[in-house]
Amino acid sequence: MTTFTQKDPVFVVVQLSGGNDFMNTLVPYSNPAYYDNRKFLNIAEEDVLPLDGTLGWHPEMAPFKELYDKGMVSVVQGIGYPDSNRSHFRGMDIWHTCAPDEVSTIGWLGNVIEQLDPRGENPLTGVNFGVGLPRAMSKAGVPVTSVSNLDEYGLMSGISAQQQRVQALQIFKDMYGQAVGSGPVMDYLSRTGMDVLSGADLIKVAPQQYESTVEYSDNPIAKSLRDVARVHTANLGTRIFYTQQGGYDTHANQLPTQPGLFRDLSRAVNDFFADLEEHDADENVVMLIFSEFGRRINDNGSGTDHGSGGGAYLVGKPMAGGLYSEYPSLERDKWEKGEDLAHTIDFRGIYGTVIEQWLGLEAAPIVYGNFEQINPFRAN
Amino acid sequence: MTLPFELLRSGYPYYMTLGQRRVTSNPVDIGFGKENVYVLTRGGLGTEVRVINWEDENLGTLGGASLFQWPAALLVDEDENLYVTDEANHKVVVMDKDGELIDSWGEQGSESGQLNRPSGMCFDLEGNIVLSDAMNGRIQRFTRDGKPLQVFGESGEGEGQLNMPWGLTVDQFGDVLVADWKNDRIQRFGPDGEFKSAIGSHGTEKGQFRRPSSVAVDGHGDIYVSDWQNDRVQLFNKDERYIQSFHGNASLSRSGKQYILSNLVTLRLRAEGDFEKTQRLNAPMTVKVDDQFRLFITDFGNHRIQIYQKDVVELSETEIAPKMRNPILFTT
Amino acid sequence: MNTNELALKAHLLRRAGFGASRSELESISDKSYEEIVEDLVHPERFEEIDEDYLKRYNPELSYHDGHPIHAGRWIWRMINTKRPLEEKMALFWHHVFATAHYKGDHTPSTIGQIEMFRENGLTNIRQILIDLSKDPHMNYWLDNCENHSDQPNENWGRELLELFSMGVGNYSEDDVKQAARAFTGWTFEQPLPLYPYGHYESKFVFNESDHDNSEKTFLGRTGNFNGEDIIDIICEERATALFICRHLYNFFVEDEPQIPAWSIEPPRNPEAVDAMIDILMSNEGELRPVLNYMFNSDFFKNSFYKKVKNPSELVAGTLKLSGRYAVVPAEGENVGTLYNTAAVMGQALMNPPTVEGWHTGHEWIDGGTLNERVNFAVNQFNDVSSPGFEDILGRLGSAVKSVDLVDKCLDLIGPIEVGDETRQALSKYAEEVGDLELSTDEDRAENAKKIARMIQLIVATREYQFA
Repeated sequence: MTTFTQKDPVFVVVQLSGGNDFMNTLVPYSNPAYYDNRKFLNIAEEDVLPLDGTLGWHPEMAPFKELYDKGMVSVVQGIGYPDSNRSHFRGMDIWHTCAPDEVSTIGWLGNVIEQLDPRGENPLTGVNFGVGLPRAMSKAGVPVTSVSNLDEYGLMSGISAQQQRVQALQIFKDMYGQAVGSGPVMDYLSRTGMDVLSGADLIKVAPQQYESTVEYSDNPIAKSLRDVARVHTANLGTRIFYTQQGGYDTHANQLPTQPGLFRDLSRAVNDFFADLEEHDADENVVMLIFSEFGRRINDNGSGTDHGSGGGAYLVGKPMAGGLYSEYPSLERDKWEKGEDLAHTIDFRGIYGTVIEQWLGLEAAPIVYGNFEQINPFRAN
Repeated sequence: MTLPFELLRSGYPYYMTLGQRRVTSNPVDIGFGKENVYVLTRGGLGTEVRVINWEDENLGTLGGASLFQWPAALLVDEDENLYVTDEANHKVVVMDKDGELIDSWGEQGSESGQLNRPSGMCFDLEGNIVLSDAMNGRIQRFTRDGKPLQVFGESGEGEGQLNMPWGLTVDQFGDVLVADWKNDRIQRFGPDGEFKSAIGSHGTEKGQFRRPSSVAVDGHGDIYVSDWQNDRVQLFNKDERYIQSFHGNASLSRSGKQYILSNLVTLRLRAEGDFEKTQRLNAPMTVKVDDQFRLFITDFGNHRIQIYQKDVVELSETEIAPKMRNPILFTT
Repeated sequence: MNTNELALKAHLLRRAGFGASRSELESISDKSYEEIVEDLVHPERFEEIDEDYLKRYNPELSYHDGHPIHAGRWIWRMINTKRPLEEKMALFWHHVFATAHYKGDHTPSTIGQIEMFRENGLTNIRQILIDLSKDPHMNYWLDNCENHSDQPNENWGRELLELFSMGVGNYSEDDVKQAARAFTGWTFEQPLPLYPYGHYESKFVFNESDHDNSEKTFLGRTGNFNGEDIIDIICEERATALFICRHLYNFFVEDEPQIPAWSIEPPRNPEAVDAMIDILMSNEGELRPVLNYMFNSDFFKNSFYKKVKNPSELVAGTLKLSGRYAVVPAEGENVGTLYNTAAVMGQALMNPPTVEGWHTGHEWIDGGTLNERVNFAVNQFNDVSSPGFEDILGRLGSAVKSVDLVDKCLDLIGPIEVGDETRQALSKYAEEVGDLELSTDEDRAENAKKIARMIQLIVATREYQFA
């Protein structure tokens, strides 16, 4: 077993899938160009939650602003990469693999997990909550765990009667546990089956141990972050958590849609950190919230379309808080491709910041190069 | 109620297009309130009732997964209550115009009054509900609160038999016209459910159908059929003679125009594309007509509503020559 | 029909199709093995699948705005088609010519390519490579739309030779450049944009003014070659026949090492592959003769369980057993979910990870995917009212003895064979449930669940992971 301590740095990634509209998240409400270009989809000055006289949070981000005001949120303004690809799939791939010029199957967190647990001893070093493993977490030979439902995780989970499930699992163990020498593929299957059983045994203690006074809301991101909290507070050695919130592809209907997503997200993140604090488990947790791209500067009447430069957020007790990099220019001659916010910092530099300054690993081999970093952490 | 003896058909000038992808996504049916237009949508881009107005503004959604799973038809009554058939749960769901559930009735089965995948639905002349009980191959009539009144038809291919009926309508004489989907025809039944006539057969020629999904009748007795798999709407006159087909003439809706104008690349691509393609119908699901003789087509595959305005002169018997037995070449 | 013959036919249908229920096997019991092979390679003898019900109840199939539901429709076709090899060949070519949706994000092209494989998958190599070269999805995937006479882009030329026909080591870097020049001007019609009304199709365009019309020397031949000429030359090469036959062997007969190792590792069964090459070449690249030979060969008949099922085979095969996702969709059944089902097992159809395609064989299996495979298969038999399970139950007659339960169930879901350890574990369960009466409705109601549990245990075995 890899040795780990309760205070090893832990990193939680929250992916906002679909491309979040950064301009309506952190609103440049003092800039007339914002209202000129966002004729329909703007947040009125009186509605924003001001932060420094020039920028303000979306009104539904109040619980998030609370964390910001406590100094727990370092905002990365203008995050992106050159020649942004507006495809969700490809865009997300690039964020997941750090490989904008080629198609890669190696996820950046797959590389991170491999370095944190080189011999793959703890299948819970990296845990994803959701259906299917994101490419960011995948690397051949690096075991990670993907959980769609923590309370029913594991084999035979569809057999609802507990006693019968136990019986079925025992038979599964008998079937997979004994074979040696019946061919390399059959042996490999046996080993894998037994690994799955033991991984599920490890993780099932998490829901059993967990108690909290924090009441999360009833929505997918709140449920996922509660699962992260349950596994983190169970001290199973998980260093990398991954989860996502979908629905940000707001070509139309942005006005009714985005506030609901923000309400769910900001409440869930706030509850999550309150939960960790209650468990005295927040000192070693940093969260990155990102989206595959920002949205177009001009709205289209009822929504916004795929753009490039966006924003990311590093959240947690270890953060120094405040604004980093620069808000992309709203001046027309600075727009990318004549219609996008130009990015002001490369996402690989932010990954590098986390990899080196938080996880204590070398960034260059993971993000494939040296990119400008920021200093978003509190000095100890 | 009488129909005009004959019509001088001027045509169907294109009236307007409503909606766009992600607003009126995958529209299956349409209904009208006093000011608003209700569009029932079903598919990967949303299953709900979308509310828009005649200025093509998006006013939000009603219903959704908590109320219905496979909605097939929408009816709006005089109080703007909305009736939706749900063919997954074998129910009719009723909500008010704010989306509050006010009633729900129907249970699965094949007994009289029970349902197996209710699909098309319309009001009859008394305001009762007539619906296609698709998997049972029959038509049923109910009061608005679900009390069974009448059942007719049975599964099969013969006259008066039905195979997976879908859309239907009641004309001004109380006849029930049914899109007999899997039999590729429209059947007309009298008010008592007796078979009267059938239109069409399987195929792609004029007057033929590939899986007709809906039928409507206007105040002149003209019959409109959405010929789903042939991507067209066909028009038959009151004598069930083929008149013409609609393949779609969409223009840009107001929201669509706004969308394109704010996207440089979309503007460029549209400037260079084959424009005709953008006008055509794709899997039109429902046709409806209103008392102003406007024709509404839910252009399902294109996420929009295409609307035509009928332009005719009504003729009495004395205003037109009598029918001739022999064709003539001298026609000046 | 004796058991061995039945087992052999079941094996054939697992490989050339997606498995068969017992009633499907019975419906062809009057045909010999050889006749069944003939039928398989001639799908046109059987009616095309009726998609009307599917489209009525999954209406979004009528437009092309997202690929997952169309990938799910493909799995539905695998389950319900009367032409199993047609779908299997489409899957084969999708494995070989891996093209992913995520780059173009243009659903009509993504699904159009699979449609193309469905139509040409059993024709000949030349036809398939030419169609592939003209396919907008492939063209964009490998950047041939950026291959201009004054500014060649080699990507398509390179992958055509390396990944799609001859394999590395059989051509020079200069041949790549020359091939690329021959494909200059091969592009596609700009499709109209997705918004505001959904996607529109594209199609192949040959832009003569952008074509390099000068002389090229390719694989030792010289001439003013166009793309078709390059493919003609490629198809004359034995290396191409080897490459295709090895793929066929790997996909239909026995798991080979991963493709990147092929240039250093010889085929598992060189004689078999050599024989296939000879047939392919003497028939000018026609596929039917080589498939016919392969399915009738001893090496194929002796290849039971030498392949790990790919996720599509596992999903479609298991649903054939349970009878779900049939021609008329059950209430609320959405085929789009099938895409996700296979995706979490590692095969997102229409979205392979890279141009090299999926790693197959035992690499389909890791902790996460095994968990998904087992749970999916087990969950199909939670519900004892599924048509497939009811069929199995009906065939068990009025009673089943504890000692017979394992064998009868193994027979009815295959027949398949299991190893001793598996058999012992299954027998232990059979002993626990004892003899089961099935003669009255009450008996059946009570004992159906116990039999379903046995099926669940069987589809959870290691052996079930193999085709």
